[in-house]
Parts: sequence; structure tokens; C-alpha cells
Amino acid sequence: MIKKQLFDGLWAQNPGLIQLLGLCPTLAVTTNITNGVALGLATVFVMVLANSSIAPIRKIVPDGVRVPIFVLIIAGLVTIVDYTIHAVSFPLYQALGIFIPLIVTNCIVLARVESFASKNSVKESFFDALFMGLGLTIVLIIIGLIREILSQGTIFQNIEFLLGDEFAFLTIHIFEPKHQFLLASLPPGAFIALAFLVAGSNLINKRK
Amino acid sequence: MIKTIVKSSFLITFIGILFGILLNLTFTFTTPQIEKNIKDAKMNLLNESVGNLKYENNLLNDKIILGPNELLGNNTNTDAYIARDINGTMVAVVIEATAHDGYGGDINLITGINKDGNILGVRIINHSETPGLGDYIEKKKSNWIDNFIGLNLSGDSSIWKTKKDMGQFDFRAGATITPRAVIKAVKKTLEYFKENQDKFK
Repeated sequence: MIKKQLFDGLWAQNPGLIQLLGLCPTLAVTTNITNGVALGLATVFVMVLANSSIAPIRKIVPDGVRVPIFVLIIAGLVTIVDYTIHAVSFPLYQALGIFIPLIVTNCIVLARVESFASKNSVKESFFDALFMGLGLTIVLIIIGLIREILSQGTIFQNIEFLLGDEFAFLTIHIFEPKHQFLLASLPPGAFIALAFLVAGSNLINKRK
Repeated sequence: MIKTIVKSSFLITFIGILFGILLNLTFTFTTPQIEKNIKDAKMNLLNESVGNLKYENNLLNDKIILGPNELLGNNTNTDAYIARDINGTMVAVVIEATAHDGYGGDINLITGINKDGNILGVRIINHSETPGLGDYIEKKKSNWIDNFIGLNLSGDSSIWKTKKDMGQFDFRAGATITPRAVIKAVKKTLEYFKENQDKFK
């Protein structure tokens, strides 16, 4: 079961490439890898919390009000994560800015709660959130990588916000930014990068 | 039917109260640290804007309030901070200003000016310029902002322009609106300081 969930999350049902859920923050923040990783991990964290806290109460929640209850729980969890990041890592908070509160509106969280956690055990829901979240994070990282290289000529720019100043050396400069490609850093560039990824995954799936 | 409605409302109320308590706890525990972070960040920015000038007072506490002024571009009151030497004499001021003509909207910045009207440093507080294009005005993205250090109003006024406009400031191809807005706002801040010097004592 876990193996299948892993495969579903990372590939067969990948939220970014197949389900196409949670695109609003996905496309908005991924101007570099650091933002992609940070938002991805924050989303994984919220998804795991949401799935694991909703699966145990799935049998007592009446059908008619399940969505308001799910939304209430997700909103509460996101706000807690928001405060915590603000207190623990201020630079990261500044980098992610408005996108942490936006995880509330990220439909992938509600989608997994509604379609999975409300019908499955706590353990399965936990792994579902973890793998789905990681699948999304990987897509965020790849889009971030493409956009960052094209627009800035770097890899791992601003990684020190995430890991601390001693890791600033990880930033790789491939070429001088005067050759930058503006489109890549704007939202349309994100759509185009995603389109190539979706096309690529469809191609691979078709060949099988 | 009635039973379901009652059960539903109780459950929603219960979960609402539970998360209310959780949020309150998180808020209580994180607020001191969040406030400290915001204060530290502001202090760092103020310190950077006065360069390596030595002062003896606590900048954050020594502030005066400036009313709305066309030169500062502020619609509401803003703060200005005064740096003093050991005798309490003013050695520099840090004035906040807003440029309304940025590419992506308002740009908020602070300018550190010494008592003779020379710029000690400029820092951008927040902006919505294009990431990767107009954001080189941020110190953490490039050193462009250091071009202001040492400038004053006494020299040739053509220095207050980008190289594209026959001035002395570098600019990045494709992003000339942003530096123009910043340069204009800094120059107007200097003019404000010159006209209102008696306010800063």
C-alpha cells in the first residue's frame, strides 16, 4: 500500500503534473529553487497535519458539514505554521511573504483531505499527505530550477535564507545575469515551464 | 434530521473553540519573538542606512513624526530617526520616504543623511518591482544602492539621473523605471531635509 502511495504521489497521481492542483502558489513563488523548496515543505507540513488530524475524526464528522469543518481545521493549522515561521525564521518569512497564508487556499490540501483522509485510516492518510506533498515539492523545485537558470543564471540563489548564512556558498552562478530571460521570471514563464513538464510526463506515460 | 443538525452545530462549535485556543496559544508564544524579529530587522536597516557613522543613542527610540509632505511622498505620518553623538548633538537623520512612480507600485525607502546634508546610505524597505529585474535596488541583490553614498545637493543636478538619461547612475537594461523612481525619491528626501533642517535637532 505504502509503495503504491509513494508511486501515486511522486508520479502516477502527481498533484503538480497529473492532478494539476494547487497551482496558484505553485506558479507564483517558483522564481527560484529556494522558494520552491520552502513553499513545498511548508505545504507538505500543512498537508500532513491536516490529513492526520482529519482522518481520526472522519467517522464522527456529519457529511453535510464536512467541508466547513475541514476548511476550519486547515485554516487553523496554516495560521499556526504562519506564526511559527515568522518567529523561527524571519528571512524565510520575508521571502515567502504572502504565500504561507495562501496555503489555506491551496486546493491540494483540501483535495487530499476530502478525497483521501475522510475515507482512510490515519496511517494511510499520513503517508498520502507526505507523498502527495513531496510530489508537489519536486515539481516546484523543477519549475524553480528552470525559471532560475533562465532568468537569473543561477542555481540555489538565496539558499542562505533557508539554511543559514554558512550555506551561501551553494549558490552557483552559471552565467552573468545581463543575459537574463525576463519571461521566465514572470508568471507566464511559470505556466510555460509547467506546460513543458506536463507534456513531458504525458509523453512518458503514453510510451509505456 | 434535527439530531444531525444539532450534532453538526456542536461539532463545528467545538472545533472552532479548539482551534481558537490553539491559535491563541501559538500567538502568545510566538508574538514576543516576532516583535523582536521585526524590531531587529528595522534596527539593522537603520544601522545600514547610516553607514559606519558612530552614534551613541538608541536610534529606534529617538524618532520624530513627520506629517504628509509632497517631497516625502507620504500620505500619512512617517517616522524619522535621529542619531546623536555622546553630547546629544544630532549627527545624522534617517528619513523614510515613498516613491509612487515605481514599475510595480510604491517603493518605500529610508535615507540616512548626515548633519551636513551628505547621504550616508539608502535602503529599500519594501517594493513590488519585478523579481529578478527591478529588484537590484535591494542591497541583498546588488550594490547599486551604494551609488548614493556621499551624494548631496550641492553638486551638478545632472548626477541625479541614470546613465540612460545622461546622469551617473547605472541601470539595468529593461528596468529603468525602478532606478528613476528611487533616485527621484532620494533627491526629494534631501530637499526635504534641506528645507526642514530646524525640525531635526
